[in-house]
Amino acid sequence: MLDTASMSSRILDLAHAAAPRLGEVAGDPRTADLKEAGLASVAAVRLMLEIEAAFDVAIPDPELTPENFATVETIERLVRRLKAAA
Amino acid sequence: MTAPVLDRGARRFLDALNAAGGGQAPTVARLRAAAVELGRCATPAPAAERRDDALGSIRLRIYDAPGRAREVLPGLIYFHGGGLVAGDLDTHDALTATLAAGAGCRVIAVDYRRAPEHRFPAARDDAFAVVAAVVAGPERYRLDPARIGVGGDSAGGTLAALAARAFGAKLALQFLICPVMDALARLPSRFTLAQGHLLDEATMRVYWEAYRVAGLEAFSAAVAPLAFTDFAGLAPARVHVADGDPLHDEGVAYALALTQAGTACKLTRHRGLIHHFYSLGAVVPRAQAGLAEVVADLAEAFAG
Repeated sequence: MLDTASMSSRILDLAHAAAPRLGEVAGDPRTADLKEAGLASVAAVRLMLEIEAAFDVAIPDPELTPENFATVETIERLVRRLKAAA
Repeated sequence: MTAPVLDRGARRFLDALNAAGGGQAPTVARLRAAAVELGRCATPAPAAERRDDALGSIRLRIYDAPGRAREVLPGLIYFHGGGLVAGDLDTHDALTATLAAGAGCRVIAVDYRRAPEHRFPAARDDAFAVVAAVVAGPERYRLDPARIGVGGDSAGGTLAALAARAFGAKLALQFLICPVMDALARLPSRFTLAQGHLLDEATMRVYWEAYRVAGLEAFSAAVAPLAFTDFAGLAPARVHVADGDPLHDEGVAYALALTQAGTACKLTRHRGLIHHFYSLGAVVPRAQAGLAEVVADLAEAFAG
């Protein structure tokens, strides 16, 4: 299983690619609102698919919520929860 | 009409999209950005030859199957979708390349002027100017003069159908994929699928408001093929609709009007798929089969 630090940095990389202004936010990018950082809705879906592929998880439909994709941190919590359940 | 049963991948795509995009009002800037993102959801195009061309100030991109650029071929003049506001040659590049490579025809994609910078009749005028030039000089494009057609998806389908009315027997085909046939159509699928199906009714209104000019009714023959008073004498049509698309019913209504007027028309209904499926193959696996059907239908239309 991935250690916490590498999982975190991998999700951050993917989020940077999907949300063009994430590099410009003040403070910790892991807690920045991705929508405000320019994550358009279609890009969010691509991000979701990339997360699934990168961590070999299937995100169940009920977990496809705005809350789970709000920040890098919430995505990380989701992936960790899915990994733990697998 | 009850809501259709969607393909599981299409359902999942919409659920994720709605979760991610909930509550954002459609604006011209957001719709253009979304069109760019949607373009990245297409299945990568097969190999195709591309070359840039122009008609006056209108940019064109011409597509051929590899090695066929010097052959005399049937030609499809193609108008991209995006409400006449969003989308461009690049957002639809995979689709137009796939049509050319898969159907063995030359595709001439048109970069018509978009609203709101250019309102009615700019997009239509550009579309007609290109069709007029191609039918007047098919040898310049190495086209078989008897097999020149127009095509388009979504609002590009509107332009194609308007051109089919304007150019009559000079065209051999109108090829429409999930077309807008009346910008503010009041048909059942517009109501049952008004929200959460990729193309919201609110978005359709933003598109229309961007394109309209004072005094122009949405339901008029200048902008809405469903408002034609005569559907006879038009080029044979191939119409593709998806039953999860709010535009489903207007595509069906247009096909029916053509058939009743004696214009040849073949309607294909893509069950369980959604608007823009032809460009979603990378995120909706079943959409790849839908696009393959579209391509095969285009090949058959030009062969027959």
